[in-house]
Amino acid sequence: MTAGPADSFREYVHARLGTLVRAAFLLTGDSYLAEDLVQQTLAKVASRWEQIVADGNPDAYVRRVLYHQHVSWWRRWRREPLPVAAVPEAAGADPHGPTTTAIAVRQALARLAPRQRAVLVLRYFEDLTEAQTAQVLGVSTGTVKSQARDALARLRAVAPELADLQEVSK
Amino acid sequence: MTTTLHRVLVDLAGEAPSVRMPEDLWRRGRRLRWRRRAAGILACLLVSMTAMWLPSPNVTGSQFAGTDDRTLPAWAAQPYLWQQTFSEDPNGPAKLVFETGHSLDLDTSLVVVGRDDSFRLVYLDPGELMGSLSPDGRYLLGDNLVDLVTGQSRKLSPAVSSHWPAVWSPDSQSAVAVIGQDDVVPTTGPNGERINDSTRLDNIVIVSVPDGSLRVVHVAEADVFRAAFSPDGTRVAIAVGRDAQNKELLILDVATGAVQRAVSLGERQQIAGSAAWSPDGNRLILTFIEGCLTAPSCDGPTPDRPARQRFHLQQLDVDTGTVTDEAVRGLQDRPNLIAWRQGAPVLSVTNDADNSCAIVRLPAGQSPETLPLRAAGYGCPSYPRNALEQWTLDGPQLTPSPWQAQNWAYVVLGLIVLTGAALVVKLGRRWRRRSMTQRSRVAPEPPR
Repeated sequence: MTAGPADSFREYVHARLGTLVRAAFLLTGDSYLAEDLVQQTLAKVASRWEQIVADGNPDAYVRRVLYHQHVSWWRRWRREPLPVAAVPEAAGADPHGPTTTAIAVRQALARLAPRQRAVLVLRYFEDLTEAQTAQVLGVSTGTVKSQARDALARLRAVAPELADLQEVSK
Repeated sequence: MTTTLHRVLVDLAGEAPSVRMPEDLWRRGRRLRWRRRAAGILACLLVSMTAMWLPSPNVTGSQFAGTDDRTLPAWAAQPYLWQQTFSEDPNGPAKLVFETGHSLDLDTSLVVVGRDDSFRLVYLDPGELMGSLSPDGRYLLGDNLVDLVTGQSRKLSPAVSSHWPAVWSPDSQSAVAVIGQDDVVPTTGPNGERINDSTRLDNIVIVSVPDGSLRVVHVAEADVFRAAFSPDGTRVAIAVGRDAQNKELLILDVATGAVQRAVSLGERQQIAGSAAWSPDGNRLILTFIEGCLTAPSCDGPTPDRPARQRFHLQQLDVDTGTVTDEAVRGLQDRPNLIAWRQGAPVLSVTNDADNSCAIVRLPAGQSPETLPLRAAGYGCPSYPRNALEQWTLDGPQLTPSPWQAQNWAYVVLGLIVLTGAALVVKLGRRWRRRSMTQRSRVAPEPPR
């Protein structure tokens, strides 16, 4: 019967939903897109839930689906306008500067390629190592390094006020 | 680690709205699962169907329709049990045909080997005989007239008796056959009176290939029937009679049925075979049985080893009716003259004791030469007469392709492949699960 796996799936969603939405929000930069991304991710996860549970590490699988789904969206819609809730403001256009660092980071992230954004979120939000990031994205460690370097450089280029943030590294 | 960036990202993520997932998320996942499985099954079916109908190397006869391999093989092997059937994919004209018990049919089956070296099975009905192969290898005349190229089977009306094999004209456009009129099973009426006739005369007919019509050319007892066409196809010699003691050789005009010559044959004499008329048209070859008449019941050196039948050839002058004995005597087994090759008769000789067969050429004044023409299966294979007379012999041994298979065999093969693939996938998942479990020991929990 499906009662067992359905219940465990609902419990998992209940426990992890906030985390997933936050990561999706950082990836998409939009709350509605984040919600859609999480829904599609969880539907895919539900379609293979028994196998995922049997594999013993649902978080790794869910994370992988979320990030791949995001990159897949970008590939599909990069030539089409994305439906967003609000038109983002152009960084640097305001002579008074961004009111908060978070807004500046959000605007800067929106200008990154999806994989670069994914690398930053995985490395600096989810605290994964380069090897773990590479595993989630299905790329080599070298690619993760170069993507992170390029992403940080691009952040600095599109949002010079973030220069001090990027220079504080481990 | 860029700790400040981490803090900023956490702050930014904190702006994410709280969302509620739809209640039907699980059901959406299930629908996705079934759609994926249905697509997988559909893809497998499409691949299987495509594989089934795609021509594979050395499979179908159609791609070899233009080939002109004029070599007879030294040996033809048994077909595979799953060999393609002739009715599904005709492969004529035939290079040879032979009977086999190596098929999934409980009865004897016929193997048709095409000129493209393809093998096809014909499942014979119980009691059905192989029939006669036309000189060009295109037709098979038994209970039905079968075109081996198109696969069309024409039922003749009335049916000719396959008990007496039909004999083909040299141009493969007609054949002489017998329509048996005897009531084989005696039947009596309510008062014990005989109501059928076991001595009714039989019809000797000419079967026309183009329209399948039958034309009676003679009426006689055909219990000892044998026939041979003249090389030009205008005359046919037939042996008729009630039994061996009352046997007569008639030479008929094929067009009118007029008897041009009648010669009484002795108990030991018979027309040598379907190619008994010599190529020059002047002689008719007869066989003369020496010693015991009815092998394999002849007494041999031991009770379990009967004596082999012996014979020699005679030449009957068609114009004068005189008979001359050949010098070579004591040839063994039951003969059937099937062709002429390099001026000498070619006979298939069958040992009735063990049903073994050899095809031999009898050059004048020389010892018999066994030709490299053998096949698996029962008795002698049948070759088109034109091929026996004109083609190169001792060709490479022929073995069927296992891919010339019936459709159900592809389905079984597909199921085996799918089962193997499913096993590989399952093992792969188990291996990945094990490696993921090992990796998860070092992977951190995602931030909450």
